[in-house]
Amino acid sequence: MTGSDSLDGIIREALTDVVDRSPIPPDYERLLHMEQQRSRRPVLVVAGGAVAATAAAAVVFSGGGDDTPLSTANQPTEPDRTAQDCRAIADSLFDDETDALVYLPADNPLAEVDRVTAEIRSLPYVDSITLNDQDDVLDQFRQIMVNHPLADSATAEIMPSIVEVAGSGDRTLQALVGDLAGDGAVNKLLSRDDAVEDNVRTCIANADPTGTELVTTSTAPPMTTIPPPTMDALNAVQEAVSDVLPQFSTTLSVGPGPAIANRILTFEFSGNSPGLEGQPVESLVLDVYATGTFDATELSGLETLPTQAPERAWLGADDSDLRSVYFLGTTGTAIRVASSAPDSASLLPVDELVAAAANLASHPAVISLARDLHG
Amino acid sequence: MVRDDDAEVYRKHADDLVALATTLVGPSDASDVVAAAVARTIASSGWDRVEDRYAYWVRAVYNEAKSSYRSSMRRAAREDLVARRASTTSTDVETHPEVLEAMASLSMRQRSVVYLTYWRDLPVGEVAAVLDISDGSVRRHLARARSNLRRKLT
Repeated sequence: MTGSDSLDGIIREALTDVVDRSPIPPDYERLLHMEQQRSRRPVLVVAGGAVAATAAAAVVFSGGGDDTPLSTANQPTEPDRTAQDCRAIADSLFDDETDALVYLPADNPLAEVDRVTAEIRSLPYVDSITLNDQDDVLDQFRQIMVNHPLADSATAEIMPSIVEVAGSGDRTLQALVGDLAGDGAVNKLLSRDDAVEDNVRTCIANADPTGTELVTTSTAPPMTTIPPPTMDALNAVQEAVSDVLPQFSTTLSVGPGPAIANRILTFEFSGNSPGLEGQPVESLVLDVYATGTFDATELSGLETLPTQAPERAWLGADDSDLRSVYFLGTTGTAIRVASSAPDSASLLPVDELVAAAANLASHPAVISLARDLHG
Repeated sequence: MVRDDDAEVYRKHADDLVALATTLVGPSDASDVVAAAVARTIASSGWDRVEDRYAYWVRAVYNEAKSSYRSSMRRAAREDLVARRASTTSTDVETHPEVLEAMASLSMRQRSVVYLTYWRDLPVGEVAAVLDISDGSVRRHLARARSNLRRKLT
């Protein structure tokens, strides 16, 4: 018996173990009954239209107004992970031959995804490409973020697509930057190694929510105590960002990013401009944190810019790395608005960032979301 | 639109769909996932134009399994099935925690590909057709799943 045969046998045995636990199938008559009940739901003609009608119908059907997602405690869960596990998982997400990764924004039309992948495939130094569509990336996200509330609540439509590119080794990324830097349908480019390291850090922070492997001073509570946000709350914040920063695209991004302990949620919004001096469009990021992330004493020692509300403080601000931190009243959370642009002021002047962050920090949708997230 | 022979076709594949759902979400939610997926599909306006109902239900079960929130319909199904579950869920099956842990480490897509390949014995082309993805994607998901399972189980 070869090693391959042996593994096949082990997998079949494993599946037998899993499938043997299957419950009996639901009766077909029961399914028909469910379908008939569904089709009899009342349709209410009210101002606001389909959303209100659907919500009202759901209340009637479920016998109550509780729209809290049911517990997922019975789903298969991942045991505690070690850093070694995280590295193995992160390394398995991308093919070994891959040199670089091209991230395409979540809101790219399929035609744009096709165009970009075709363009990459045609480049002379590219040997092969593999497209990870939004479903694939959601799967990857859930592997990295397993047991985190967002692993359940995230959906494919908010995920980027990722093109894996195999070609000329270390030179591939550099060449891709040259060819794709001005393409508005490309969000960012990373080497495989950098992407794996990002995912390892995110996985470790998720597996070790106190952040002790990354931030030894953190004493944050476990992230598993934080309930998942509702899509309504996420949409409300996305609309708030649109109101406050109309010149930016406001795609919600909860994908893996730089791992920081206590980060609950990330919104990423990109400038609608074609990019800065030929570079890919940079983005601003709105993070929601548990306030344990920020040390009040440390903050008090940093430059503070004048703001109207006493609970707001600047962590730092300059043209190369804009950062602001706003505590959200009594919610136990803070938001942080940051820019990754090397020349942030040309993307959004400091005073406009201050105004935007202040508006978001006092926006009812943001505060409501923060309260939801932090109980 | 419900078709005359839907009941017959469903009963033919019901055990298989529940086994797939068990592989994807575990035994406790498997019935709910299948119930919601099948009820949703037979209620859809284009159902009478679906040719391969098995493949369609497999994809529906996959999509339902990865759905982020459970609908009120599934809640109703859950409540209805609670009593039956207590008497029907097998408690005497010998399970191996390391096996369940290994399967849980796979992504939903990997689990569905592994199930169709190893349990249903479908070749790559048929797995691709059922899941409506490319042959290359099937091979890639299968390779990664095998790599993960080798690491966990050998």
